[in-house]
Amino acid sequence: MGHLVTRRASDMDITFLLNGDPVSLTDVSPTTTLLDWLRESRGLTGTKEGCNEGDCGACTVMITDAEGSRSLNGCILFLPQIAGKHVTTVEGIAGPDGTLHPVQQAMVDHHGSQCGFCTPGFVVSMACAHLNGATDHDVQLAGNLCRCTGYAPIIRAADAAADAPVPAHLLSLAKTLPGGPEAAPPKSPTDTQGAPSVCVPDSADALAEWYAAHPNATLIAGATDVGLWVTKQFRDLGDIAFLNQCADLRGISEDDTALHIGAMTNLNVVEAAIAQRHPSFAAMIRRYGSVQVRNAATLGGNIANGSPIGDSPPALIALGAQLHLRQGDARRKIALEDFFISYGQQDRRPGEFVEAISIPKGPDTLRCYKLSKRFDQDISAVCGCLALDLDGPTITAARLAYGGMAGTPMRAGQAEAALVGHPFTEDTMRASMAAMAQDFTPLSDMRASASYRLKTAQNMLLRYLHDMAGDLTDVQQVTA
Amino acid sequence: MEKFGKSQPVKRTEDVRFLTGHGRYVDDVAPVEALHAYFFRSPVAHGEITELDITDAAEADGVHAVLTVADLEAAGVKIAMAGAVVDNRDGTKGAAPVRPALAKGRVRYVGEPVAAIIAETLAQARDAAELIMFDVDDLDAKTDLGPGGPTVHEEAPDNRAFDWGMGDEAATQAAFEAAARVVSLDVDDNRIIVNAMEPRGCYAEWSDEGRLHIAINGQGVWAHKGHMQRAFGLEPDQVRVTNPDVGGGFGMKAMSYPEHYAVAQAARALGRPVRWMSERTEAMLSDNGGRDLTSLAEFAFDADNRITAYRVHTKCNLGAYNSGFGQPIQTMLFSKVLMGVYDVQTTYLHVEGYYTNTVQVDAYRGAGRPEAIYVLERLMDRAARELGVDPWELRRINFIKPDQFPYTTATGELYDVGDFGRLVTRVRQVADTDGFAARRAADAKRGLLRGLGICYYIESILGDPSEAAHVVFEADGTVKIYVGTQSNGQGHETVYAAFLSDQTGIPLEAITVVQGDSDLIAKGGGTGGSRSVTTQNTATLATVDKMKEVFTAFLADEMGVPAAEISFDDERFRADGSNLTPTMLDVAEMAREKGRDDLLSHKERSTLPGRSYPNGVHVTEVTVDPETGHVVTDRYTVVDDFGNLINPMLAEGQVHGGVAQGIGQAVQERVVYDEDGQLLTASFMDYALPRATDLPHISFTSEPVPSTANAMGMKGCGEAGTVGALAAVANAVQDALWDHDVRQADMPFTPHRVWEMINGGQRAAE
Repeated sequence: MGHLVTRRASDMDITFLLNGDPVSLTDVSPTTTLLDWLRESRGLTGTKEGCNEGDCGACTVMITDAEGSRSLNGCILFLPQIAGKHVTTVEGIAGPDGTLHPVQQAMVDHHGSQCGFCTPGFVVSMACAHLNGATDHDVQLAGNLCRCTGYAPIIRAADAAADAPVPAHLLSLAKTLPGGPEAAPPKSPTDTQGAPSVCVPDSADALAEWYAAHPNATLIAGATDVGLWVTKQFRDLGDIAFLNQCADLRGISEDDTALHIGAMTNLNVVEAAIAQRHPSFAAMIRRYGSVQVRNAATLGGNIANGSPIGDSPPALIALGAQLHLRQGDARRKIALEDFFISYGQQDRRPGEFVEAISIPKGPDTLRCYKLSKRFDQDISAVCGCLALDLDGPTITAARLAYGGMAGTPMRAGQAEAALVGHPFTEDTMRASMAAMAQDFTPLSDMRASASYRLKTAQNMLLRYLHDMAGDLTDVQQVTA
Repeated sequence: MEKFGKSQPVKRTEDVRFLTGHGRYVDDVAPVEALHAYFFRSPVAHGEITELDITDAAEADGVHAVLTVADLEAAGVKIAMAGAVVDNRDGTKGAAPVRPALAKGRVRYVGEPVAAIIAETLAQARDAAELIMFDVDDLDAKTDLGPGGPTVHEEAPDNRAFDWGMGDEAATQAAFEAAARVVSLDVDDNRIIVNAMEPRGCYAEWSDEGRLHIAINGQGVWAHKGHMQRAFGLEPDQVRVTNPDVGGGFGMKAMSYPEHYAVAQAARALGRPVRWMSERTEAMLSDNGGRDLTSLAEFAFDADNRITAYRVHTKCNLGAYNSGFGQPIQTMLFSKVLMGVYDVQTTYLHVEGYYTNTVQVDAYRGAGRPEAIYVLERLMDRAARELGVDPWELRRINFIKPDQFPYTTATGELYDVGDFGRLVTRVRQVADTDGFAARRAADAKRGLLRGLGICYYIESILGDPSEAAHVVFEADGTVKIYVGTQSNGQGHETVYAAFLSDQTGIPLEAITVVQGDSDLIAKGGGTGGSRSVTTQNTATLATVDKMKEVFTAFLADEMGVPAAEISFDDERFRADGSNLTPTMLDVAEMAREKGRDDLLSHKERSTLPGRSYPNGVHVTEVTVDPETGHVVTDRYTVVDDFGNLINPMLAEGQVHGGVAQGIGQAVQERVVYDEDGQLLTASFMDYALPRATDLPHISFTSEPVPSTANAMGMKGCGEAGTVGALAAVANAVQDALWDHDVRQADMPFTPHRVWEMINGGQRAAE
């Protein structure tokens, strides 16, 4: 059920394309979600609300810009985030003459729709994957929930449609853009007295200047978490800045020593960039967020948010990642693990934001193990990311980083100490496992008991030993 | 089956609507001028209400009204909601405490609706809800399943709502005393949250003449119509209930809910349409849950491994109040297939129902029958182990044999046909059960435990055995068929239209199926109990027979031949000596030209002569990672006897979805209330609905033994997948863990729980 927040004084003007038609909105609240606007203001009810928190995918829409087309959850997508882009909803997937899209026809042929409520979201996800040539259907559709079919007929439909040509009206989406994101920045009025301020900076410099003046503001990167503050907690966000126009915060570069990832780089881009270098990390990224979520969520947001159960920090800590922070014109660089001070508290100064993350280059010894009750998109009971450096048979350095074991992502210092200088053998691993009992005092909660958490965290060391010996390499076999 | 539907996988007519975003669900069709309702719900599980002050909320921006139970009562609304009650063993009635449409005096579960805020926008209604002053004297929450603890209702001492029994207790006891061997097992059946992808919703509007229209995304309109009439004191012609497209029901949407009454009353009081749509967490808190029972099951065996008696003692959780069918589910409905496919006449079923400070528990796909088969087939598996008999052989020994049909079960069901041994032979081929040992050995080398699980299920189709079909020939050459069932996504529009087309030769594209409007259809049974296609098509057949009869009489005059010489070949009427070979549509047009409007509308009602009993075998193989407790459902094979299939593609879809719901419950879906009665699994992040990667591809094979209880020889297929899946998966996990000395393996098999089973059975604090 949608709702429109109408309280904010600082309303904005936003233009975009919707199923081929230009749309110009004036005086809309910047925290209006695309889903609510589509259903309540535009009367396009094909896009459904199934959970309003990005878990079910019934609200999936296709967003096209100069970087291509991708699927996103409309329920946690704020209107300023789509300014200048082309929005395709389920109503725009079939051809202008009503010809069904190949994925729609395949869904008919394979009985992929029963009650039909999740169907629009599946159709958009499938059309988007089809457009992008993606055929890993389980992964592409992991962000869409269905209660009727058991999925197999939908997967068969996606497979059957894979070789069909992309319909012309979808191929031409990017060409019909109003001129790229920069061409139509959302306009917001200058600060009115006492009203919260909304900023859409177009560069890191602009953000730095504005944020220094508004240090209590909420920064909105991908909105996969902040979106829920609005849709679920009905929070008033106060001053806000949408970072999606900061092109210089996006992208990945590398030099001789490290990979530099802009804070606003979305997780799908991160995943693609590290897939060769750190396949285990890439596999975990594919698990913890759906395609829709990864298309929105940014690596910087993932870290700055400071969640104790985020899955990327343990992996990045195990990789020895550095965090690049900026406050006004002042920049500093810290080890990522030093950023997390305690539950809910990070080493981030007023007006300071994450500019980039850098991952040192080196041989890939990282293995990531995520334990959760469901394979895809589930909060980890334990997430362990382990990397050992070897010199011949001897362990020369150890980085064991865990999530779910403490109030922050944390390294197992005692366990690491028990490894360094010792041979890479089962005996050493068992000694390290014993030492780990001094590192962590995990909680018992709904997801897992303290004993399960500690035991499985310890067992990950044995798993690592087997993994490195080539015994088990398939991620599917080492998950819970 | 050439005559009935030709068993063709006709593609669905409703699909294009759904696939292009033009489905019309309740929140898509609410009047644009409707006000929005938001429900203020109890934040605590149990407490006496000491303050409920709505003054500030009522004065908030955009708010038109705030309704509490006092407002409903002042307006004359009868606030007590209906709930079926069973008889106790001592002849008294089960407890029937009042379930008020809005909380009255006391709150009994987190999420119980307390007040309805009606405002211009949903955001305004939500904001206003925060201004409601609500205070309670906290009472301890009753959350465990069993007698004692904080009293939920004075009417139910010890919180026991009913104490129900069926069968001959003394004879059963005597058989146990005489038994050569006795096998027993405790079996837990975990609570689930139904989570139809479309949550519940409704809107209501009143005409100036005082006529109510309420649209509900339910499973039929007529029960709701009755409830509205009673609550608002209205005559039948003063209530219209409609049921638009529904995004999944699974039993949960069949029942009446408090919100319907408050929304209807608000619309009446304000003279404006009022709409309400549940959010996801709200749904998880307030939708009827499913399952949630624990049973002790026992077999008595003779020396030849024949079961001589079966006894089950169940405790089931009703939640805080009697829901519509809360009491009958684990009693009457459970009993329908108590003894499954086995020839045992000495049985006793004893069920106690308990109130707790949790949301109501009611029907979920299969409603009592998955629960009964789950208990029975878990015990069968255990018995095979304890007796040292092959599990297939133990089942074969005890099957009802083909020559025993028709067979009256110990609980009074008349099974018409069955050939269970034939299905076993087939499933063992399809599932390659002979190859299991090699697969297990290969997994053992990888450190994985592989187990195989079997379940032979039978289920009984339920619901009203009567249904009507009303066929109307329209002036534009099209035909409408008005039906009394209600699609929740099963593809009824396609099935009914295709069936009518096959029987009459009327082109499929000329037929429109009309459902879900109490003004257009006087009476119907809705969807539930796998009844729809069997009852509706039986009614359609009766109507088509009537059409043939009256059309023939009409044609006799037109064609100038005796009626007896006119035949209908499923496409055209023909008679020797006449060149006229009209179709049904032709005859209708002739009748219209002659002013014979009585020939343009045909309605017949028919009642099934008997129930039919879908049955089949599920075989699954799982792997368990002993280090993490992670369970993967690897291979899944179903062989079903659904009798003749009307549309094999849709039937397979029902099986597939049903199995998916079974696997979900067995492996990952888990509801957790804390000791204060707070629901900890109230979002999709915490409640693990299966995703695409969690489910295997399911092999489906039809092995039909046509039913003799209806003309089509069909049996119903909507719930069978779920009925068979629970025990198949659980038995497979038990098989995988048996050598790790696990003797009590209960669903859901989440990694943590399985790990605890392997590591000494310690259970984590929940």
